[in-house]
Amino acid sequence: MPPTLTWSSERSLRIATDDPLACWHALRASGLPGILDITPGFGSVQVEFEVVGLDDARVEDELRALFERTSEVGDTTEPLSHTLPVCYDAAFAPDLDRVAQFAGLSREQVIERHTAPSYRVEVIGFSPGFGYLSGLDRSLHTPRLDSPRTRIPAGSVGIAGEHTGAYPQSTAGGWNLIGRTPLALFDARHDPPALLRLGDTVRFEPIDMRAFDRLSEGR
Amino acid sequence: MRRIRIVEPGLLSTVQDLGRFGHSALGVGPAGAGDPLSLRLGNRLLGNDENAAALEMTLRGASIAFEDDAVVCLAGANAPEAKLSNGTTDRPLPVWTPTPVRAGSSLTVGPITGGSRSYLCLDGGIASEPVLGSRATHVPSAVGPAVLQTNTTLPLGEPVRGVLLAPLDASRRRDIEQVLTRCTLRITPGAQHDRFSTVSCEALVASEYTVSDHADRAGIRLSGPAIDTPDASMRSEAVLTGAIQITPDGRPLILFVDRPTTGGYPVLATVIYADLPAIGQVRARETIRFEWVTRDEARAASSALGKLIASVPMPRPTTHGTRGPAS
Repeated sequence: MPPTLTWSSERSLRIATDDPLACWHALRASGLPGILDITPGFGSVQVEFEVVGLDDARVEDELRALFERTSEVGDTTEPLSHTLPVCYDAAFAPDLDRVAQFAGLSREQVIERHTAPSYRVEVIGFSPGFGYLSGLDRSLHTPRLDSPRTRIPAGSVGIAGEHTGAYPQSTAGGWNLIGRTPLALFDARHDPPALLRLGDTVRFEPIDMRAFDRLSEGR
Repeated sequence: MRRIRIVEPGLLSTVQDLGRFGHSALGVGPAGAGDPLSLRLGNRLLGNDENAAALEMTLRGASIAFEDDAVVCLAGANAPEAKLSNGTTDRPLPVWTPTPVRAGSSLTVGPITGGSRSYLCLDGGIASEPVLGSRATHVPSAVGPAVLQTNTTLPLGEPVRGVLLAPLDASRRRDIEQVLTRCTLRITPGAQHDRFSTVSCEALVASEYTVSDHADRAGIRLSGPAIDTPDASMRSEAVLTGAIQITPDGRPLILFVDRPTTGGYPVLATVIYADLPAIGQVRARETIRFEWVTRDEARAASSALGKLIASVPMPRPTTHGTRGPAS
């Protein structure tokens, strides 16, 4: 299905597409003038332009031509595979029982099913380096908390709806917390700053508290 | 390198430039000055690059010690009690007026009135280490320089010497204050506009909204008549500074410079670029209205604002006063 274009302000377009990642790559490589930022979301990509000199028809024509050219090229970057160590100890997993209860499973079964799949980074958003991972076992789909926690520790691994992910910063959050990773997921002074990139694959590997402490020391 | 030291940070003082763009796919939001118009003009009056980093102060300003000579310019909302002290005498520091300051002096900005943000621009700009291409502070995610605390010192960049400093003239000052105190914000349809009913679109412009106490750099919550929102939930999509989300209780929330990169509430409308500086100056409990305009009208308003900025003369170094190569 060709992407559909809708202006979401005088300075931005929402591009509805079933492949936001490919669309994002095509736009980044396009060299189109005046682009300030390109933001992929679920089922869409937003392009923000400098306001000066914008013209509806010209921008729409340029983008349509771009998508015709790139439809057969697709995404050319190699996704990376990551293994994130996660400690599922009760101290880090205040909502593991809730997820288990919702699924009708034991805590051990939840951990088993959470560490089994290879997930895909579908969207990065909410906060720097926060990846929405798709591929969560159906039985683990759990609604987010009714009222979000005001502050949760960095590295917390959670589940909300059909997604799982890890919080790079200590922020507010409404996901069900089932564990914690000792790895730094975002550091603005590193290059690249975010561990996960769009399209990368992620597996979770269970570790115990000793391994967590050992791996945390390097941070 | 020249330095200033924060003696007392005020209510919320941060380092801001015009923002961090190009990293939203990493989840990194733009941050930047809440009132970019005032930052640009304050910098112009000093002969700085418009994007030079300055101190953004909110509602109650900072106290600052100057360890070296500098030229400063307050820009944005008024700070009627702002005064410079050299230890023996005090003198006021009026807004929009480039003013030389001697090493050893101090500045107390005090209450900010007639708006919510005032910028202390400094010749050469604040030269803290850029992060992902910008010196802006994104407060919620702590990307960029830390929120300023007592005893934080900030380095200043290489100044343009020998410039002829003049305050902003009264006529342009009136024009700019009109932009900053605008209480009817112009809007165009937002990313999820087509999911709202015509009734909802009309409701947004039919009544006044009051800025709630929950108004900060991340977003401005409004109270007023509720607006019908689409029933179906939506998955997170990209948002924009100035996007007006309708939250499940039917209230509008204007996403602002410290917003996240994506959001899960439908966006009915987007405030036009030319009216974003007015959002940066709005205060809690003030009332605002919205007015639909076309995209072409929105772009024309941007061009007009650009012309107003460009009409403020940039001081240029005098031939003999220019400093040699940077030391």
